[in-house]
Formats: sequence, C-alpha cells, structure tokens
Amino acid sequence: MTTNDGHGDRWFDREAGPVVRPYAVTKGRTLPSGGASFGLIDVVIATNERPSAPFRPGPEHRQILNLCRRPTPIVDLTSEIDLPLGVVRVLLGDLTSEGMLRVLSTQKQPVTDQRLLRMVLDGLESL
Amino acid sequence: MSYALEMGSREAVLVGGALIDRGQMSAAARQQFASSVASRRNLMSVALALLTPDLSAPYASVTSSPQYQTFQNMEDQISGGSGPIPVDPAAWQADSGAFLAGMQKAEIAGGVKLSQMSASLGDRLVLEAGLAGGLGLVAVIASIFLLVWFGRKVRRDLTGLHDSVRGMAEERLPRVVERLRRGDDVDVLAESPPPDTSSIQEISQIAESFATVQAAAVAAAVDQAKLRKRVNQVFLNISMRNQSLLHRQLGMLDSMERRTSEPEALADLFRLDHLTTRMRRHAEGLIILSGSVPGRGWRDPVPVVDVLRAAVAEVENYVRVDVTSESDDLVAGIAVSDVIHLVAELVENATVFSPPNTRIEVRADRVGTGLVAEIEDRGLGLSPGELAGINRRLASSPEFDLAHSDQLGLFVVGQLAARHDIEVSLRRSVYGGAADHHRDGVRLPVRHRGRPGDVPGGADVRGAERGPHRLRDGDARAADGQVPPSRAEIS
Amino acid sequence: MDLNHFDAASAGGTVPSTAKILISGGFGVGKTTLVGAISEIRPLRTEEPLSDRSVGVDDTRGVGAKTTTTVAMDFGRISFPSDLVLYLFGTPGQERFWFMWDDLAIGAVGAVVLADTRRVADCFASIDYFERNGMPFVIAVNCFDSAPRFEPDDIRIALSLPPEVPIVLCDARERDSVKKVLVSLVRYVMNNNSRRNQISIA
Repeated sequence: MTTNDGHGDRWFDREAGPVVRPYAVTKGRTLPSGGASFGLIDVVIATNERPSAPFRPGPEHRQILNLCRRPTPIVDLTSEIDLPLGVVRVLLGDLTSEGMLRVLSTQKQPVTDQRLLRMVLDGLESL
Repeated sequence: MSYALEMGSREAVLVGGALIDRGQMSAAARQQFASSVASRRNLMSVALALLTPDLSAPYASVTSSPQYQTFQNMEDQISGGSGPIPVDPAAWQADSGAFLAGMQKAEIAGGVKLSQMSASLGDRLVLEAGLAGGLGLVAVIASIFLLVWFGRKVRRDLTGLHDSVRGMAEERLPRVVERLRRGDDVDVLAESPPPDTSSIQEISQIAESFATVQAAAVAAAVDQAKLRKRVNQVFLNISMRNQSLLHRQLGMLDSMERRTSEPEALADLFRLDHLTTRMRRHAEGLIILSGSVPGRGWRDPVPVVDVLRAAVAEVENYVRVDVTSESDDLVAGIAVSDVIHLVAELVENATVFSPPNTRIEVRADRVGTGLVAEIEDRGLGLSPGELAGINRRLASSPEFDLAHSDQLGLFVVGQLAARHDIEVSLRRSVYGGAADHHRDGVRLPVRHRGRPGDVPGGADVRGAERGPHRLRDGDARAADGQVPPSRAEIS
Repeated sequence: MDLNHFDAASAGGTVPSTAKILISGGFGVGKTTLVGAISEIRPLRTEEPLSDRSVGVDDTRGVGAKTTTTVAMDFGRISFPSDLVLYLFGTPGQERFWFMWDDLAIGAVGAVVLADTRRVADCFASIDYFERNGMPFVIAVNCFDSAPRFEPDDIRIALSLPPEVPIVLCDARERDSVKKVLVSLVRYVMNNNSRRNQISIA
C-alpha cells in the first residue's frame, strides 16, 4: 500500500520491499552447488557440523538450519522464509556442500512405490 | 627737465670758454650753442607740458621771470651773431647763473615734491596692497577653513556611505544568500535598508543610486533562489515519479522471481533486478540531493547486516564485495534509508578505485556504545594530502558546487552523514602478510548510534540505548584513536 | 526405485514421508477452494495474473509472513498420524507459467484436473500436459448450485478421454467430496501400477 504524505510516495517497512534484494542473498548465483535438485517435498535436516572456513553462513543460512533441526520438507521451509524457491535452493546447496545440511529423501521419479500409495490411501480414507 | 638744465650748463660752458678767449666763439662752438639752446627750449616746453601743475610751478616761476626773458634774448643774440659775443659777460653771467640757479632750485623743489608725491603714492600703494593682501589673506584663510570643514563633512558622509556599502557587500547580502539557500523567505525591503542621507547633494545622489543597486541585488538573489527552487522541484518531481515506477517494477520482479524455478530464467531476472535496483538508487540519490527524503522508510529497526547487504546490492560490482559481519545489532529505522545510501556510495567508491580482481570487505562492529562500519579495499591508495582533502570535505558538509560534479558522491555522503551525526573518514590501513609487496587499504569508519535490539532468542541487550541517535564526542574520539573494538557482552 | 521414505535411524527423530498431488484446471475454476477444503493450512494465494505490488496482493489474507508466495501458488498440506505428509499443489492457471509445472510434477502421485461445466474447454491444456508427461490424472467436475449438470460420459466425450480415466463429480467446497476425489486418484494410480506390474511380469 502506498501512502502519499504530500512529499511523494512513502512505503514503510514491508511495503518498502525486502531490505536485501534476493540476488544479494546468493551473490547472483541461481544454480545450487552440488547438483541436488531439492524438490519441493524433499526432506532435509540440519547436521551439527561446523562450517569450514572460508564459508561464512549468512543470516538466511542460519535461519534454514534453525528451521530444520528436525526433518523438514523443503516446501515447509520455504513458507517460513520469504525468499524465492530458487534462492532457497542455492542456500540449501551451500549448506549441503559444507555438510551442514543433509537431504534425507528426494523424489526423482514418478511414484511407483505401492507402499507409499497405500499409506496415502489409508490416510485419506481415514479423514 | 634735468636735461634742459644740462643744456643750460652746456651753454654756460661754451660762453664761458668764449669769454675767456676775448669773446671769440668758433663757428662750431656757435653751432653747438645754438643747438643747445634749441634743445633746452624744446626740452623745457615738453617737460612743462608734461608736468603736473604743482610740479611745474617752480619751473614756471623761472620761465616767467624777466630775467629769463633777458636770458633768452641773450641766447638768441649769441647764437644768431657772428664774431665776438655781443653780450655783456657780466650780464650773461648773472642771467645764466640766475637761470641755472633757478632751475636747480626748481629741480630740488620738484624733487622734494616728487619724493613727497612718490612717498604718498608709495604709501597708498602699500596700503592698497596691504588691504588687498589682507583681504586676500582673510579670503584664503576663510577658504581653507571652509575647505577643511567641508572636507570633513564630505569625509564623514562618504565614510557613512562606504560603511553602508561594505555592510551590504560583506554582511547583509551574504546573509540573504545564505538564508535563501536554506529555503527561507526573504523580504526584499527589510533586507535592503537605504543608507543614511547626506546634506551634500552629490553624496546623497550616490547614496540613492546605491540604494537602488542594493535593492536590485537582493531582488536578483531572491529571484535566483526562486528559480533554483523551481528547477529543483522539477528534478524532484521527475525523480519521485521514477522512484515510484521503479518500486513497482521491483515488486513485479519479486513476484516473477518466485514463480521461476528454472535457474537460468532466475539468473536473468536477477540481472534485471540488479539493474532496477541500481536505477532506484540513482533516483533516490537525486531525491536526496534535492533535499527531500527517499520513499522507502522503516519504522522498526533493521539488522545492520541487512543494511550493509542492502547497500552492497545497490553497487554495480556487488559480487566483489563480502559482508563479513556477524553482528546482531540493529540500526534505528529512521536512519536505515540514508545509511544504505551512504554505505552504497562508499562501497561503490571502493570498487571503482581498486583493481578489478580484488575483493572488498564490509564489516560492522560495535565500538563503545556505537557501531562502526568499515569498508576495506585493496586499492592503490591515496596520498596523505588527498586523504586529508577527502576527509575535510566529508566533515565539513559544504554547499554543493556544481563545478565539482565529479565529487557528487562525496558530497552526498557528507550530507547524509551530517544528517544523522555520522562520522565518516578515510584511513589508510596496511596489509602485511605473505606478499612481499605492500598493499594499502582504505578504511572508513562510519559511526552511528544504532539501537541495539533483541538478539534472536529475545534477550534484551541494553535498555539504555533507546535515546535519540546522536553521537557522543567521546565515542568519536575513541574511534579516531586506534582503539581495538571491544566486544560487548550480550547476555 | 527411489523411495520416498528414509532411514529413520540416521535421522534422529520421526522422519516424515512426503507425497504430493497436483490440483490443476483452468483459471478461477475453484482449485484454491478445493485445496482449502481439505488442507490443514490455509492456501494463501488466490490465483491471479502477474500483478505489481501496488495491488496489495500478499497481506490481504492476514497470515503475515507465512507465505506461499515463495512457490507462487496455492498449496495445502495434510499431515497424517502415520508420519506421512501429503501436499496439494495448485498449479498456476495461466499457460505461461507452465514451465513451473515440470518442477512440481516430478515425483507427484498424480493430478486432479478440476473442470468447470461452464468452461469445460479450459481443461484441455492440463490434460494435454499430463498425457504428454505420462502422469496419471482424474477429472473432478466441480458442481455448484448454478452450474449446469452433465453426465460424466458427456464430459468424457467432450474431453475425449479414454474410458479408464476416472471422472468424478464433486463439490470443491466440501471436505468429504474432495477427499473422495483424492481417494479416487490414488486408487487409480495404484491400479495402474499393479496393471503395469502385471504386464511386465507377464
């Protein structure tokens, strides 16, 4: 929402947009390192590894680690962090490369796992 | 008349000579005698005609005497005859003698009278001269006095006028200009009081013309200021419109970046985002230069790391810049926008003036109760003179001189720093290390009082810091000495 | 086969299994409604064209920073007691955003194509996409009060679908109705798989 106080438009706090532009969070990178695809429903978890110099985790890296102390699907992470998915993926790539984050599961192919489907079906029917 | 007398004497001599010689007179002598007689008579008649009555009177008594008649007769007889002189020597002696004596007496009397006359004439002349001189002297003295008095008056009035003029040029007009620069309104009449009048008309006229000039100068300054204001306003309006459009564009980019999961497409959007962000920075910069505030504002405090990264994001070569701070401190909301702009300016400088393969580091640390942000590059270094010059310019917050438009950035930094009591200075830092060549860096401490707020987890750092954000002198000095930053214990 | 479950021992805690189902269909057809009817979290975004910030998109739902704007689409979530989390992703309606679908589609159980009887043709694009990618899908016909009613077979003909594709009538607002749709999808997929398995065995 734009207010105008007679001296031109003013935008405050959230309206002013993100303080740090997304590209500055990853220094312009859009390709996650390590090659993992980080699908939306992939589950990640923070390890407790320390970063090795010269990697310095930024505030967003630390936020991600805080959010996935328990196994967390990536899509849930992204709801908490107000950043584009592409940026989140790059950050996840940084963390996994440093061993500070681990991908516990990743979905690469269409689901043919009957057991999982059975779980879904059972779950749905019990709603 | 004296010549006449002399002629008479000559006659007597000639006759005397002849008498001695048994009264024989040569023809030459007779001729001489005759001419003497003629001359004598001539001279006497001329003289008598010329003399004034009282002067000729004694001579007249001689010439009117019977003896004179006889004398003249004898003269005629002598001159007209030939052979021996026909006159009686005794009678001749007596008459000529009497004539001569009479003439001499007359001459003496005349001389006395003449001297009397000339004396009185001389007296009169002296008196007249004296009078004239005396009057003249009085006149001169009077003129001198008048001159001096008048001169003093002129001097006084001129001095008064000069003071007025000087006051105008050195005090009132500069004050008016200064006030106009600040944007105050100026009453032309109040600021151009007419100088004191003088009873001397010429000076009065000068004073009047001066008053006219003065009013014209003030009016011109006011007009100029109005014009500048209008031009300023035009630029400001354009920049604000730019700013709005760019704001909307960035909002659209935010949405698009979220809808893209393909890395290459996202990279393109990032490039566009960066470009747009730089455009916005320049729009905001122009708004700041025009004396207004940028549209983005924060009421809540913002983490300093974010502020620094935001500044870096606005720079063309942001990839070369590392923000290495892990500080949890916050910057007071009201300062965020300006600090971003200020730091961006300094970081841009650092990237421009250092080799393209070097990196720039931006840090923020707490020093005392303030925050110091440092921007360090590995540039070629500046001479101590240049360094001092830049620091001076940063500290003094001068009026922007369009002649130095290449120093626009520095000027903006100075303005913003002054607005928030931020001290910015350039320093040389030395890199030692393994390299065998000496690398200089430039370090700029930026100090401002942020509001240290909550660290994640909610612990409150210190309540005392909620003051307005002003810099204490003590802090400034601490920074200028090379005191290593002390880490505050956060509990 | 890559599996969607884990080595619980190495994960220090309960490790969820995750699955996703896509909800697609034309613009404004009711996808958000459908997801919202069954999701435990609110889908936070209505489908809309790319708009600039001045239209005030993000804050109108009032849930603050929690946002699906990250993925630019609605999504919903159902957590089951069996440590399974099922996500429902509403695909962006406009065709120009289909480049995102690939990302979404990978590893999805299948898709629901929500059809509006007034605008049946809007489904075509989705159906084409899924058929091309070999993703199993069902048609859910959104019936609300004012909508004209058709027989499923009419729709099958209209959409030129093979007989095995389930066509289900539903009310996107009703949780039970939506549940039925999802169940039919999962069954369909399971049946497909077993049929394929049978074929490969045979």
